[in-house]
This record gives sequence, structure tokens and C-alpha cells, in this order.
Amino acid sequence: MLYRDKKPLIVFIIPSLVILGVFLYYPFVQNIINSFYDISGLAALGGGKYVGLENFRKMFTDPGIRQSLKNTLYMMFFAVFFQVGTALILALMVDSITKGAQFFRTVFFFPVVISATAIGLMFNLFYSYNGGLFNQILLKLGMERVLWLSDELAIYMVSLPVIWQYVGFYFVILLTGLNGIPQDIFEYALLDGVTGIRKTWYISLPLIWDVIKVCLILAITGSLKVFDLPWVVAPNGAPKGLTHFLGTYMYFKTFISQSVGYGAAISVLIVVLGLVVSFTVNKVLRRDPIVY
Amino acid sequence: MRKLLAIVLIIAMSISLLSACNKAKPVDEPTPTPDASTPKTEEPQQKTVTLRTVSMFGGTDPSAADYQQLIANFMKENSNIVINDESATADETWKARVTTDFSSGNDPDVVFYFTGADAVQLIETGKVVSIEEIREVYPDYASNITEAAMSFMKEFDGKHYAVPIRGFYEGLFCNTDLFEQYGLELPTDWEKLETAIKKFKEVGIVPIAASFSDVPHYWIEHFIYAVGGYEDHKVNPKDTYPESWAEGLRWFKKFKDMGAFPVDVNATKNDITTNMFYDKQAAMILDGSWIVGGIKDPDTVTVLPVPCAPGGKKDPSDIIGGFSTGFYISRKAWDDPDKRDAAVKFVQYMTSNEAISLFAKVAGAPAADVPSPEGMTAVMEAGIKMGGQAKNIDMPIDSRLSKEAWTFLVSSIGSIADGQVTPEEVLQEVVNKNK
Repeated sequence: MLYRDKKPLIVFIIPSLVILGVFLYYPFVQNIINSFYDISGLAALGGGKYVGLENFRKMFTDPGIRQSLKNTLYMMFFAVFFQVGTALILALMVDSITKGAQFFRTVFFFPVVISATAIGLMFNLFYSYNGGLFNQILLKLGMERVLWLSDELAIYMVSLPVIWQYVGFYFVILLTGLNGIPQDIFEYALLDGVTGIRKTWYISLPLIWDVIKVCLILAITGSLKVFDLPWVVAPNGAPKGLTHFLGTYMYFKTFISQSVGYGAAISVLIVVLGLVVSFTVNKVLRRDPIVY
Repeated sequence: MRKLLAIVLIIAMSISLLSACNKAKPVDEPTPTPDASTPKTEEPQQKTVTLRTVSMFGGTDPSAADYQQLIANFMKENSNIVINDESATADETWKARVTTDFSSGNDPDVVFYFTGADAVQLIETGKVVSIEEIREVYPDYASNITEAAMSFMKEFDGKHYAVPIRGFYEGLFCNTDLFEQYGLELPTDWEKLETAIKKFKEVGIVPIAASFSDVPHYWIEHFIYAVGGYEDHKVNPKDTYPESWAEGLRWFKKFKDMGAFPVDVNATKNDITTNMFYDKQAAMILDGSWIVGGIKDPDTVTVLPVPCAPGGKKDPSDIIGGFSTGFYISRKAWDDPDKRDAAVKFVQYMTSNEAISLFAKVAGAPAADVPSPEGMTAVMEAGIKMGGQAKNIDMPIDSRLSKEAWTFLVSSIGSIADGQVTPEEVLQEVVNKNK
């Protein structure tokens, strides 16, 4: 350690620990306790009835949970292949150009800084059957209007803006990872005649493997708790609750249905799923670190 | 240079952290911050009282501007009272915010809120003060409110808590110009309603603007009312539900199959569909008196009671309406000796005859005996006439059902309309959840 006397360190760490404890860990533990109670009404002030594991048992028979889990799995799949996948392809492409890299960084990152609510409202208007942008374009091209938020298409249409918004985020992370690879390696590779796709597959990707792994974990756990965009594009899981994700369903149950205990149980489920999934992904994608 | 910039940034951040503190600090704070979420009491020698008020007169509510003007006038007349008002359009999210504020100790001092099922938690946890208790100290409190209006304010414990200012009505609003254009009679009976729906569908106008995913509330109420009449509508289904309720809900599918609703009724938003009505892209909308303020040319709009359904028991003049909102004073403000007087003054100002005339001008019946406002448009007059001629006025079902039961019913309407689930299945579950 750099410091001989460790006491000042403790003084600086304690305030953050206190804040974390009060605003993160205490509510977290209280929420787990709440999930064992039947609390109806937001102003019930913890005066609920103890029901043990009843809330968790209810989750097995609740069609809403089944739908939400299914949609969340879809979202994870989209996040992995379309969000991180597209970001990776874009990063590899931008890494190989000399001029204009900064321009692309800015342009691709731009959607990340836009408020999710604004994007959600915008897409909600795009999807509107009478007078929405997409249908207006179709009409102008002489085609029939499409019901974008129909039972079959809704999940894809709701996921679209969610995926689109954060491609730039992973793009920047991956590009930074790629930029961190020393140029010498590529020069040696060039001498050995390794270029193009082979260079990417055998050199770039393995060297940024840890970065890709982090992006995948972020994308997967992010899709577990996604809320703001889907809620604004399709409130209450429109149509008919078919586009509920775990995050939106938890909000619906807690704040609209006011079954606070059940909502707390759903949030415990989200945490447990998040831990299980990140642990699994970490294990599956583990590789020996490459030292160069 | 960089060091100087770093120091300046740290100082700026520290000041912003300090100004967010809500305890009365002995240090002079630079400027009063707009942090409206916590009442600040300043040094004793000024005796300024800050009241935090919450209401639904915000956003798109037609009375928002009047309300803000009344607040400004109140502050001018009472220079020692500062009002920090937070108002937003009333929807489920806003209701959730108000109850969360109360439950987290962030009680507003005065809140304009709903009565009935929505207020049960606030009353049970003692968060609001009853008018009876206030009258022990201020005997003239709410003395100008009519008895009829006050009778709607009686809660489950026999006491009254909220001071009403205007009642509301719900009815079928019709764009009369569209009806005239296509030679249709106004839907004064069910047959005319179905004829109008079919004709409008043919010519490409949305017959009825509605959003099942957002606010199907009014059609739930009125289908049940149209079949079951006043007697069945006012039931609070604890162990069973009236058969007419299932019959009523079946009309959702029949109307949807007729093409009465927009194609994206399951996914659109209430704001969008209401605007469709305002912009004459939809012929009818079943809604409440609060939409009158947004109607662009009010002389081409009228409002009628929903007719009686075939085989139904509803009197054609019966409507859903009543007084369902009022000003509450929170226990927190009442127990604070500095705030008690200010809160009572504020509510009495907002519920004075002059204020009530202003509020009732845009929508609904006044809660006090005030003269009819001048300059009423065709739709306003139609609304008042409808309210005056109604044989029965019943409060909506969602004022009786438990939150969980009502939310379940609301979120099942799309599936009922698509025939994926029967009304009986849904209503059985509603009864189970209606604790």
C-alpha cells in the first residue's frame, strides 16, 4: 500500500459507506422483509399481514409473471445479439478507419444521452395507428396501415427503441477497448500476413474478451430491470399486458395495483435472477487472461 | 489553471449540496432554493409560514390557470404565507405519488385529492383531519358548501374529510357537426348509437375514441350501468357480483367486433384518443366533465347520458357523477401550530363562493350556491342540463372497489374485448380481490 498510516483512508471511506448503508442496503433489506408480508396500499406503512412465502408461491401461478419472464428473456436475447453485437461490429469498423473516428463516436453515442422518456414518447407517437409516422410513410408509399402494437408485433416494437438507445454505450466501451490494444501487435500480425477478418477473429476479439464479457453482463442485467422506455412506449404492458417486463410488471403491481408485498417479492426475484445470470455468464465466458 | 478550476468546481458542488439541506441552518443561505418538497420554517422573527400544497389542477386540467391565479391572489392578501404548490394532472401515477408522499413522511400540508376508495388508506392511517374536528376549532369551516355536495364526502367511518368545490359528470360527448354531416341522429337510444357506430365506421371516422390499455374506466362503468341500472351499478361486489355486470362487460366484445373503437384501442394512449375527438377524427367519446376545457369548438359538441342497453334496466336519464374530490388538511399541518391557521385559511379561500364559481365555470356542478356563470358554451349547458335532469346520479364503481380488484378489472378489458377471457372469469377474480 502507498500509505503508511491507513487511518485517513478510513475517514474518507466511512461517509460513502454510511450513505450506501442508509440509502441502498437498508431499503434493500427492508424490501426483502416486505416481500414476506401482504401489504396493500402505498400508505400502509409496513402495517401488513405476515404471509411467509405466499407471495412467492403466487408468482408460480401468476400469468403476468410468466409473460414478463418470457419478455425479459426475449429482451436479454435482443440485448446480447443486437445491442452488443451491433456495437461490436460498429466498433470494429470504426477502429479500422483513420479519419472521422471522433465523429462516429459522437454520433453513435448520442441516443444514450437523450432522455428515455422522450424517446419512449417519440416512438409511441411513431407507432400510433392513425397518424403515426410509420403509418404515414406507408400510406404515402401506397401501402396499408399496420397495427404496430398488435398482439404479435408489440414485443418487438417495444424492444426496438430500448435496444437502439444503448448500442452507442457499448460501442464506446468496445471501441475504447480496441483502442487499448498496442499497435505493435497489429504490425507483427501484418508481417505474418494476418489481415482482415482473420486479424479481427484471432487478435482483436481475444484481446478485448474481458471488455466484451463486461458488456454482455451489463446488457443482460440491464434488460432484467428495464423500465422507463417500455413503460412510456406501451404503458401497463399494452396491449393487454403482453409487453410487460419484470421491471414494468413490478412497478404495475406496486404502484398501480398497490400490492406492495407482492411487488417486493417480484423485485427479490429480479435480484436473484440478476445474480444467477451474471454468475453464469461470468463462468461460461471465462478465459485465461492474455498477457502481452 | 487546472487546479483553480478543480477548486472552483469543488466549491460549487459543496454549495449545491448544502443548499439541498432542509434543516434551518444558522448559516445564511445564498438564495431561497426552489426545493418545494420540504416545508422550510424561517427565523422566528419573520413568522412566515410555508405551506406545501398538492393538487390535480396542473398539466392539462382546465382549471390549472385559475388555480395558479387564486394562489397568487392568496399570497398577495396574506403576505406572511408562502405557498409551494405542486400540481399535476390526476392519473394513477399521480395518485400513487400522493400516497407515497404520505407514507414516507413527506406529507403535504393541504392536498386536493379523491374521496372514497382512494382516501381509505389516508383516513385509516390518520393522515388527514376530519372536518368535524376542524369545526371544533373553526366552526365556520366549509360552511358555504351545500348539503348535497357534503353528503358525497361522507366516508366509511361516518365522518367528512374533504371540502369539495365542484362535482363532475360523465357522459357521451358527441361531435354534432359530424352527426349532421352524415345525416345521423344523436344517440339518444341504443339503436341510434349502433346505427351511428356502423355509419361512422363505413366512412372512415373512428366512431368512439377510447383506449383500453390506458383508461377503459368509463366504458366499464357505463356498460354495467346500461344493463344493470342504478340498483345493480351501486353494488359493491364482496362475495358475488350481479349477473348484469357480466352482461354489461360482454358489450365490450360486441362493440369491438362492430368496429366502434380505434384499431389500436389496446395500445394507444388516452391523450391521443382524446385529441382524436377534439380534432374531429372521432365522433364520440365517453368521458367526464374535465375534458370540456380542451374542446376546440365547444358549440359543435354536446353531451348525452349513455342510453339503456337492450334488455337493460337503466333509466335513460341516469348518469354517473357526483362529488369525488376535495381539499384535505393533513394531520401534519394541523398539529403544527404555525401551519394550522394558514392551512385553514388556504382551504377556506379556495372553497369560497368566488373560487367555486371560477372552478365550476369550466366543468361540473358547483359545491356551493353560486350563480350560473356567464358565457357558457353549448357543451357546458348540455352538461349542466344532463346533471339537472338525471333521475339518479351514482358515483363510479372505482370509488367502491379495492384498488387491486379495480386494477385487475381495468387490465382485463382488452382481453374481454378480444374474446380471450369471459366476463364471468374476470368478475370472479375481481370479487376475490375485493377485500
